Amino acid sequence: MKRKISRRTALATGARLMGGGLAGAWLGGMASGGIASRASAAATRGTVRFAGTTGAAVQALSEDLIPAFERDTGIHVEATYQAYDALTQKTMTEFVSGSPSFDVLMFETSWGGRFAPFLEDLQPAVAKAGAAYDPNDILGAARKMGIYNGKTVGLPYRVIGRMLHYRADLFKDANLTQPPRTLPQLLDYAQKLTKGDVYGLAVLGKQGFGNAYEYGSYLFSSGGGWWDRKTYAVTFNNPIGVRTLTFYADLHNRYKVVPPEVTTWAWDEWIAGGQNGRYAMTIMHTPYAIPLNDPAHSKTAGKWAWADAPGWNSLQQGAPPVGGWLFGVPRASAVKDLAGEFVTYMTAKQAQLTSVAKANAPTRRSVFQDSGVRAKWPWADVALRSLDRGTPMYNEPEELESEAALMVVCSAALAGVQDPKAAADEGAAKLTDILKKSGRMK
Amino acid sequence: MARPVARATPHATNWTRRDLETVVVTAALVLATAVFMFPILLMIAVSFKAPVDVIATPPHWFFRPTLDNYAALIGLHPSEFKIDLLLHFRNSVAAAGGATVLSLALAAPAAYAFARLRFRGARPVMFFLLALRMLPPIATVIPLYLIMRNLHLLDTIVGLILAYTTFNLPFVVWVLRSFFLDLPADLEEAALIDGATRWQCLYKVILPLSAPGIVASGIFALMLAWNDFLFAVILTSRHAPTLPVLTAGFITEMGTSWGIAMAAGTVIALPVLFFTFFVQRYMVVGLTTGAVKG
Repeated sequence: MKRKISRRTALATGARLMGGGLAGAWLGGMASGGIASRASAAATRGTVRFAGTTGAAVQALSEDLIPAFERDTGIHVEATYQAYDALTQKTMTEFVSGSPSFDVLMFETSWGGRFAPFLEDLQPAVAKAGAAYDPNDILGAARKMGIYNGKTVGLPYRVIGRMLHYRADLFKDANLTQPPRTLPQLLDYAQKLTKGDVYGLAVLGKQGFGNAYEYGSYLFSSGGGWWDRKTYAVTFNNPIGVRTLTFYADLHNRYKVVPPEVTTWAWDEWIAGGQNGRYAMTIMHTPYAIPLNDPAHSKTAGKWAWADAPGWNSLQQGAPPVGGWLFGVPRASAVKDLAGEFVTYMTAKQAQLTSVAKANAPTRRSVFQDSGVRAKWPWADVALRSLDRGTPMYNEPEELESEAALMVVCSAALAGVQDPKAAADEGAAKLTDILKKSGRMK
Repeated sequence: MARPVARATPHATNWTRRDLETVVVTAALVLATAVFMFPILLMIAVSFKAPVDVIATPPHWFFRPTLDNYAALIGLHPSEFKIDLLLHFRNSVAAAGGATVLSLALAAPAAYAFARLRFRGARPVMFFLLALRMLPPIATVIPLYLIMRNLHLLDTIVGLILAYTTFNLPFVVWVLRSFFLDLPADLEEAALIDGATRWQCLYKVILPLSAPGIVASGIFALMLAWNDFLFAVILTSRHAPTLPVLTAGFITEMGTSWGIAMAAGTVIALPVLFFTFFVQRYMVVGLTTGAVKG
């Protein structure tokens, strides 16, 4: 027999369920929170609250390393994972309020200077970890990412360089036997490889956090930069800067060797373009070799090869940006010793080696040289060289504002809506304003 | 089947101006519905796609559907994410439901007072309430964070309910006041003559007659709270995060996991969709009566 459910009955049932849910959530939450706290307090040396980002960057951490850390040290870990934007927004709010809800923070290189006043110097934690920690095994660029004004604000957990990813099959078809060694040669190759729907090269061209740094793969490898790191004189529009921005814009506007839609490409589209066979070469993040070669996601898996990112004049000049994720400990943490133990555990060789299995990008030379890693990652040697030669991202407090200014002019030049010289000059003027406002420039 | 418009046949005279208007209006409505439904249908379609189909260029409109994204969402399929869907769902229901109930409970007497009673400062207070809605939410986040910290309500459902109520309340008061103003004062006067108190007038006369307005403002309050991301991300961490926070987590440095994100989006949309479906009649009445009158 069919029973008709009236709107009124449905609403009343919904209200009861909601009420029950509310009460259940409240009581359940209170009960579970209380029981968990008491249990962990009795069984462990204490609790460390960890705030990190999401996805592949922390998969090893959440699934393998934190359980191992808890087992090995007797320290309980309460972990929260949030998307990059959400994490930084929340972190800054909590720092400003003076009471962060975490004892270890995972943060990206660019935030180092801005977070520095709120973070503990980690050198004592490194010293306490003893000789087994071996800080000299950490790659130079990775180590520098976490240092601001001489203070170690973070220890690197994940480091990302840029290398040339290229389609070996298309190179063979075009009779190209060696990867390009200079940027002019890269353009020449791109012209040869552009055929039909497949373009010779790809860049991340969408305006947003990302496009300025990906332009850095060209600018830094030409000897340019935002500003001089010692004097803070703006160099973005010096002759090298103007030449490089012109070269970059011409890829799209004059030579048409990048897909026309690259001005709408952020990371997702950039990776998807490679997975769909839209381009033959790109100077891209070292760990992106993984999604490009994952048969479950990529139609071009198994067709990629890797080489050092070219420089303007020579291969040796190639010095694309290096950035990544660091672990820091807030000065306001009540368990700094335990937090320091967590940070050194996660950035030590054994944890880094374990993390490779879940697609982390390790920070230690010995991990890249490990035979298992080399067998798993055919690009390990190239990635290691990229990290050794790369230019650490800026981590001054002015960096985020500077990147916001430069992403506009880089995008305008690439899209052809602004002359590259005018775009470089406008970018330099904005950088000058930012540096004057912060007192770095008179 | 549509009738042909043939000038030469006698049937052509059967097409009245009204028929043509109906056809044009229906076509426009179908088009508008298609435009508005497209993102939702796309979200649902992507939630059933395998990763290779998600990133395909040109897009694959026909594909072999998979439940992997939904399975990953409930932990039955491996993924790089640590997902506790039940926790986030329960928190969303409790926070949004609680905030809606509390907003309505507080707003109803306030709106009644503004609608019926004359007191000094009524207009400035109403304007002040409206001005609260003009504040960008980000401006209130740090003060709210500090308040919640001092009250030990960070990362709790109660804290979220209070936060959502702060930004729901002005809106609900304004909407309910409009509904109350539409009701004839004679009804209350009759009740007062019969010996009812002001509170009895509100609960026994006004509120039952204002059901459409209460439902309409309740739906909006629910949707505002249900969709909130900013307050949820700042005020919660481990125990009380809501569904929007979970969904944002699928945007990672290695790209966005569109399949799982769209599956989560579909799951998030469903409860509000069903709720709106059940109460749509009241909402339409609500929208067309008091809400547009000041």
